[in-house]
Amino acid sequence: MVAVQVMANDVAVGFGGAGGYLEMNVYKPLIIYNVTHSITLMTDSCTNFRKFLVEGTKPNLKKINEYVERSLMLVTALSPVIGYDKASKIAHYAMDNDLTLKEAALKLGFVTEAEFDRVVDPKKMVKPYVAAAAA
Amino acid sequence: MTDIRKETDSLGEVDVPADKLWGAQTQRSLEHFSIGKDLIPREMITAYATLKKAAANANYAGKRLDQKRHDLIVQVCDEILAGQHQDMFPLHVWMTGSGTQFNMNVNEVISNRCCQIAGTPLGDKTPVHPNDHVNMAQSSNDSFPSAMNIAAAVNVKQRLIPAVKALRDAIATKVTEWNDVIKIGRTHMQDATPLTLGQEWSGYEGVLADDLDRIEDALKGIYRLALGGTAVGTGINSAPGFAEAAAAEIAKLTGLPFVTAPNKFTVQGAHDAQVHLALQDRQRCSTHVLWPASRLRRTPDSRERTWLLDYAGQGKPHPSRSPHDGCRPGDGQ
Repeated sequence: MVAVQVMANDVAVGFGGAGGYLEMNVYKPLIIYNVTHSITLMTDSCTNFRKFLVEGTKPNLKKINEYVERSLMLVTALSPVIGYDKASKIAHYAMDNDLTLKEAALKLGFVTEAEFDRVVDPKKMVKPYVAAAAA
Repeated sequence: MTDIRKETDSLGEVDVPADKLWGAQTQRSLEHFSIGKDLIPREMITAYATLKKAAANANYAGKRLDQKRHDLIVQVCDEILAGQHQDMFPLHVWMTGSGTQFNMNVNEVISNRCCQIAGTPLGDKTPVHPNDHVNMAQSSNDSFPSAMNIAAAVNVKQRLIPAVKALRDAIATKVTEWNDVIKIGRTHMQDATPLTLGQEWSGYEGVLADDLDRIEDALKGIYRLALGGTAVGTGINSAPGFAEAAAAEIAKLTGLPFVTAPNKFTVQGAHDAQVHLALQDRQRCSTHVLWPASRLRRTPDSRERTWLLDYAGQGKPHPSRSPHDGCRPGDGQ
């Protein structure tokens, strides 16, 4: 709500800024009313957002890990090794049969377990990384 | 029945409540512009007191104002800057578009408070006249936009920027803390590839850092003051050198790099610096706070068991955090 009000204030200031007639702009009280209103709203909301939300936020590590483990999109790392089409098949097969990616990949026989574990490693996927095919 | 006294302006006599420090022009505005409940922002009272004090200093230095009147004006401005007389500024936002009546409200209050200190009757306009001495060398047309810029710059520097910096720093702490927490990234509200929680929040830190640069950039135009341009920007009735001296006084009083605007016609005919500050930067700042806020909104607190539970808890326990409603036992945020 605060952000919407600040944006609305900016619309008023914009119209006010367009209100120059001959030698003078005649929307001065409107402009400063909205500018100071926005300064106050942004100041207070940044402060409260920090104090009562950001500073106390803790990650739910169990859930975060679970989502990573269950995500079908980790298959992306396999693309450079087995090709986009096979990687897609693994994701779809896992989805359709409620399997993990690894289970689907092994079932379809596109990679070995060792190969899968080496390539599909979330730790490697958070920076520039192109998995190489097994020698 | 409230006691009244007679105040005068160039149009004649006006009844003013006896206990008020304002004069005839303020009273006329109260009656003719009694529109809504929005008052001229309180920030403008402080800004105008700073401006009037600076003008008195510049006029005293230029030998246009004697020491007695200068000292009285400065004393009253200091009282206003210390938070006194706030209820003597009752005018609404929706007045004349130049803000003239608010300028006169300030002139009248300072004049009458000087009367009180000097022991003359309210409305006497001696020893300090609202127009001849407090408003000396000024027009509403150059003083109001200058006060607007003082109000904007002072509040951005003293309040908004520290609040944005503190938020940026609090987020930066989390970025370091969560550098190794690997999570699944999401685009279009669906799973994408992994990133660390620290990487995700570093994006929020980055936009706030960029916003701080943009806000500072927008202040450059705000520091240019119209004061000295008087009615239409030419400087009629303003002594040579007053514009520069008054801007230097304002810079000294605020600790901010105010200067006299190189072109007064520009800053009286348009308020592009204010528009820039509002439209560009705070809109950005605002949407940039919306981004992390909407991200957290989609991962509500740990009691929601069916949504994106990336966070075990948000915020500290605080009395202001309240139960959702009276219907769902144990539910709250």
